Amino acid sequence: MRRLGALMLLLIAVGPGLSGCGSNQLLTHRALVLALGFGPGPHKRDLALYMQIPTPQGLASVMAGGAAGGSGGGSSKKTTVVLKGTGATVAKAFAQIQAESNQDLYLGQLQAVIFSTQLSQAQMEVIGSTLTRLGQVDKTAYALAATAPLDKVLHTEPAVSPMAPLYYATEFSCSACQTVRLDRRIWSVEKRMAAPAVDLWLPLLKPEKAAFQLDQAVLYHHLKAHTILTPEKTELLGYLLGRTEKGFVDVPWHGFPVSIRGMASRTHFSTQWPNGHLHITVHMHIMGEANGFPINRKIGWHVPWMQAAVSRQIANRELRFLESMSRENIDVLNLGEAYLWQHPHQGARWSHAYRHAQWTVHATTTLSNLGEGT
Amino acid sequence: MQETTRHISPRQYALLELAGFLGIGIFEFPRALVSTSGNNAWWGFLLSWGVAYVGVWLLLKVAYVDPRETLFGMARRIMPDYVYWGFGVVDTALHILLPIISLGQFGFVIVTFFLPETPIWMVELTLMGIACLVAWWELPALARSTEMLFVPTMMISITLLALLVPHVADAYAMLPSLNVRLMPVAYGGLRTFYIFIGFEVIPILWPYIRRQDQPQARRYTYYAVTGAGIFYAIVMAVTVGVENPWYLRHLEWPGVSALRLIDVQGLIINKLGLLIVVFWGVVSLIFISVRLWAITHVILPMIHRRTIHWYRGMVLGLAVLIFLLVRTVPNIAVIDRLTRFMVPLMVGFVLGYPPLFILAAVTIQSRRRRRRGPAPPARRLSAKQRRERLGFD
Repeated sequence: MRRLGALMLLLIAVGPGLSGCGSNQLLTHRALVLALGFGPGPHKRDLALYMQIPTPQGLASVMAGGAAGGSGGGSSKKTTVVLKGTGATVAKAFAQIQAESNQDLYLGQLQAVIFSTQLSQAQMEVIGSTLTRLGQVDKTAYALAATAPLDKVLHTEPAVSPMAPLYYATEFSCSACQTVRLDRRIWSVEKRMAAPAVDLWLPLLKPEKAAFQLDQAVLYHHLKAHTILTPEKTELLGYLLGRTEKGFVDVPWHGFPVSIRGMASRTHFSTQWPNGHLHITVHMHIMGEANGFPINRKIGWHVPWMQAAVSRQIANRELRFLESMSRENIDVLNLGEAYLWQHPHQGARWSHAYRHAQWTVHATTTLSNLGEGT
Repeated sequence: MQETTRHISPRQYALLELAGFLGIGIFEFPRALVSTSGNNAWWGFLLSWGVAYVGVWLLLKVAYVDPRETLFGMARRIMPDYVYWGFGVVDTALHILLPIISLGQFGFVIVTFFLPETPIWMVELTLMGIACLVAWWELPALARSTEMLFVPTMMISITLLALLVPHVADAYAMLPSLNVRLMPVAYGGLRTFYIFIGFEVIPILWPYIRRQDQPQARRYTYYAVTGAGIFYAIVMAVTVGVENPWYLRHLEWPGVSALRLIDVQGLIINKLGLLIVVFWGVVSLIFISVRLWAITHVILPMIHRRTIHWYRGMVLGLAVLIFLLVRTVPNIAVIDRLTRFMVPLMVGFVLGYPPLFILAAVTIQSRRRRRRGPAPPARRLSAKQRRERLGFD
């Protein structure tokens, strides 16, 4: 009798656990949102929310490893569909999209979140807060910015990818595939939104006919898009963040452009306050490979000169770049955050000091690979 | 082969202690600490850890007043009836709060991150049912379940925390500030003390350890505090370094959010960190089971009942009561307030009663000794008496 009672208790206790997820739904009832886009709405205070969802054909093409003909212009069947909702809050726009769909919108497989550069600071705050609170959002999705209308961005279908939203994962998971690693996860964006005196940078997504171009960064100031860096300046930012993997530079030598490639940098910042003024020193160690050099000359003799010339050129360019950023009071290097952690309530002092900071850049270069033909 | 008894080994005892330490804190730590202590968070943590050692030392002293008797058996002998009853009621009330907090935390974590549309009562009922089942066959079965479930869970957790190290991007926040400010340290230390609450069960568990194992168990108690402290230190260093202190304050469950970032490409379940959070249910489970067992062992001596039927009835009754109380909690903010309210009371209780208890015990013993006159010369014990005294019954 006692054993029977125990068995009954066991069944009662374990029963609910064996029933599976109460919210389990068939895949056909679930719309896997692969990309989210946030742009300005028709009215000033409105947000436009875009969701890119795979079609059954799109899912089939992924299952078949992209054998369904890709998503490029050649295929007549769309692999994804883009739904749009507008409203003052994300929740309202979300509800509008839900009304357009006969499936449950599921954010657990999110691949990318794209922010229009036209969003205001207040709108970015609303979006950041919503994304932080939504427990189901996959925080490892990539964050990007776009100047082009999001409709256009989300309707671009890169020919090399079986489905457009999968492009980002392929692009960013390969560190050797980019000059500068511009991958930004959504959680790191939320993190920067919460921190004081720190500005955000995002990779700029530029749609082309059947491809995306990704070699520029957007700098934000107080969560408002402020500057779009040129590819060259993005490379400089990459050295400072340790993200440039395949940088390149030319140094003239008797009219011959000596070129260095495959450049990466380890960078260290230190701050001093002599006489109450902020002095920031940047130490860079650059590694690279000699690429172009006159074939009839012995490169070995000229390596010290080449290293010094590269160091000088990069240091000068970095100095100008850092000074221009600090004059605009843009800090994407987290220097203010580290300072304010140790000195809370000194936000105004830091802001003033950073704007007038004196920068020094020390760069050393090692050419590790001289190639054939020494 | 080792005999089956109602006793537990020192290792099992240490694991029960350790599971107690992690029962509430594993989800929430270090948000409250970083929010209150700021850059003095490490000092607040060390203060909390130091106080935990003091608390353990005091409670071991209480346990040693009579190492063969549970806390409330001892209390009955040294306290007047009304004090004894008051002590029992306060202890029970405070300890009912602990499983409410633990169960509530787990329910909200699961519903927030995994099963948004599953009714939360299903999650809570399942956990409560299993906790009840684990406690059903008394302490040895509970201790063996702990050994079996808790050790692998913690080993996987530490491995996954190591996978987070490459995500550390804000290393500046991992360093302790040299500008020590007393009030934030003290307040943060107090606010975060919930991470060490759980050790007050020592005097209740103590007689279940064989007499000859008790010196070893004493050492193991300190090992458990050390182990819990090291685990929390790793959690704090990793979460603060990964999430940065400002973002961390916005997160209800910083450890869970950090583990969500682990993305191991190539595995079928690439979000391994998120998976382990489900396994942390084991920590809540053991914590709740031990509370059910301990509260029952406070109430039963008070009502002079000792049979297994009463024990099981009481465990079931408490499980239902706690489940119903948890159902009245509408959201995590209430759990947060409950923790904030419970911690100072618990710290006051756990650190406050042992000195009074020990003082009363010493006073009563010396009074009895005076009344009895000088102790009789020690006599040689028979083999049976020696066995009984050593606890081989």
